[in-house]
Amino acid sequence: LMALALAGVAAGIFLAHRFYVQRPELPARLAGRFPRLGRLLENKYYVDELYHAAVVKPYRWLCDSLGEFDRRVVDGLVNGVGAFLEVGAQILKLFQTGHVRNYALALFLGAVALLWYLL
Amino acid sequence: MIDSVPESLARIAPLMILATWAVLALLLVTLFRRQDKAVGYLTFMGILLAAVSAFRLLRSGAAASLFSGAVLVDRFSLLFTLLFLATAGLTVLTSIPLVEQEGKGEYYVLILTAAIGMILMASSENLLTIFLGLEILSISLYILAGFTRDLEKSVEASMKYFLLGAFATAFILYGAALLFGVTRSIELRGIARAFALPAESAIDPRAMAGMGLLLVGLAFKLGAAPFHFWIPDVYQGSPTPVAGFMAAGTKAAALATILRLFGIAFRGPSVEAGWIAVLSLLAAFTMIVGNVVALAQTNVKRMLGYSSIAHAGYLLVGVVVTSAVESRQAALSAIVYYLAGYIFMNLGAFAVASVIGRTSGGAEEGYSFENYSGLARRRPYLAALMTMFMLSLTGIPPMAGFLGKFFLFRVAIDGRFYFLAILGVLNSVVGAFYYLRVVVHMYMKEPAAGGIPPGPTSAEGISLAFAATATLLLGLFPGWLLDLSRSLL
Repeated sequence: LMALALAGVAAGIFLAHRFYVQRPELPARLAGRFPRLGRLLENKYYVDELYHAAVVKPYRWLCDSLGEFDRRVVDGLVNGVGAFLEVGAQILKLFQTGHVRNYALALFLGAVALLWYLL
Repeated sequence: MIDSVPESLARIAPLMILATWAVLALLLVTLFRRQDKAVGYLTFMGILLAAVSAFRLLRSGAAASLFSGAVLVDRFSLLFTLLFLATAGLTVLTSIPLVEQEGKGEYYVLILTAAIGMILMASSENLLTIFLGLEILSISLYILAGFTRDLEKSVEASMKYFLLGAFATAFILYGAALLFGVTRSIELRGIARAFALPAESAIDPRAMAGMGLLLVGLAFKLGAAPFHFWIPDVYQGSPTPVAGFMAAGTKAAALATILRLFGIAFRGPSVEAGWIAVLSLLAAFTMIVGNVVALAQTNVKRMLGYSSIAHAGYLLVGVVVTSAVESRQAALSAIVYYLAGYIFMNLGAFAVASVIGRTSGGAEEGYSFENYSGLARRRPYLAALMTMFMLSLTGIPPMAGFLGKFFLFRVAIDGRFYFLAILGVLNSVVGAFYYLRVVVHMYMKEPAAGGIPPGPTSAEGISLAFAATATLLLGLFPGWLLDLSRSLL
C-alpha cells in the first residue's frame, strides 16, 4: 500500500514536472482534446458547488424556517399567552362590581358548589 | 392538662400581656389626649414584651391544655403567636403617622385586640374558643377598616367587610352547630370521632356539611376564590397599614385554624378524599384568579390585595399536602416558613405604599402606578426597598419569597401533587409581570409632575428596615426557622 502511494506521488511529481516545466503548452492541448475533463479539473471537481448545494443551501433554508418558526410560533405563543392572560384579566375584572350583593351571591354559590360536591 | 389557675395564666402570658396593654392603652388615650405617638411606642413595647414571653414559652417546650381544654398552648400556637406579634408590631410602627394625623389613639387598642383574637384562633382545639377568637379579630378589623372616617372609601370598606364578614361568620357558626349536633362535642378531638371511619364507610352527611360550611367561612377569611371578592375593595378603602395587617395577620390566623381543623378533626380515609379534592380545586382556582386579575389592576393596594389572594392559593397547596401522613411535617414547616416570609415582605410593601400614599392625603391617586413613576430618582432608598419586596413576592432569590415557594412546591412534588406544583410555578411566572410593573414604573419612567414625595418617618423607617432585614435574613438563613417548625401538631 505504501509502495502504491509512493508510486502515485512519484507519478504526480513526474507529470507536474512534465506539464509545467518541460512542456508548458501540454495542459492547454490536453484540455482542448478532453474538454469535459478539463472543465471538471478547472472547477476543482465542482466540490464547492456540490458543498453549496448539499450543505449550505439546506442549512440556510433550515435557519430561515427556524427563524420564521421562532418569529411566528414561539413569539406568537409567548405573546399569545400574555394576551390571553390579559384578556382573561379584563374579563374577570368585570366581576369586581363593587356591589356587596354580588359578592355575597358569589360566596353563596361557592358554598353551594362546595357542599354539593362533598355530599 | 394543667389545672392550677396561676400556672395556666403563666402559660398564656402573651395573651395576658396584650390584654393588659390594651386596657392600659385605652386608659392612656382617654386620660392624655394628643399623646398618640407615645401611646404608639408604648403599644410596640407591649407587643415586644409579649413576643419575648412567647419565645420563652416556645423554648421551654411542653404543650399544655388549659382551662378545661378551652385553650391549648403548644409549639404550633406559639410559633403562630410570634408571627402574629411580628405582624402587629410592624403594623403599629407603620401606623404612627396615620394615627397622629387622625388623632385617635384607640387605633392601637384595636390592633392589640385583633392580635389577641388571632392568637386565640391559633391556640385552641375547641370550636367555641376558635369562634371567639375569630370574632374578636373580625370586630376589631371592621372598626379599623373604617378608621379614616372622613374618607368615603374607608367607610365603604368597613361596611362591606362587616356585611360580608357577618355572612361568612354565619356559615362558620352553622357548620359548628352541625358538627356539635352529630358528635356532641365542640372539641376537635371529639369531632374527629365522626370522621375517623374505615375507608368506604359512609360519613354522616350532616358532619360532612358541617365541615364544608366551616371551610367556606374560613376560606372567606383566608381570601380563597370564589370567596375572595371583599379583599380588593376592603384593602383599597382601608387605611394602608390596616390593609397590610389584614393581608398578613388574618390570613395567617385563618390558615392556622384550617391546619388545626383539617389536621386533627377531619381525618380518616373517606373524609380526606373529599377535602383533598375540594381544597385542591380551591387552591388551583385561588392561584389563577388572584394572579390573573392582579394583572388588570391599576391601584397598588388592589394589586397587593389580589397578590394576597394568590399567596393564599399557594398556601392552600401546602394544606393539601398535609393530608399525606409522610409529607405532613415537611408541609407544615414549609407553610410556616412561607407564611413568615410572606408576612414580612407583604408588610414591607404595604408600608412603602403607606408612605407614598401620603402624597395625596389618602386619596385614590396616591396609590396609582403612575405615582410610583421615577421614584428611584426622587427617593432611591424607598424605591430600592420596594424593589426588594416586589422581587421577594415574585419569588426571586435570595429573598425569603423564593425559598418559601421552593419549599412549598417541593413538598407538593414529594407528596405527588404534581398538578398543583406545576400550576403553582406557572402562576408565579404570571405574578412576575405585575410585581415587576411597579419596579419598571419606579426605575424606567419619568417622574410625574409634582414635588418630591415625603420620606418615611422614623417609626416607618424602623418598620421598613425590620421588614427588609427579615425578608433577606429569612431567605439567607432558613435553617433555624425550619428547625423551630419541625414536629408541629
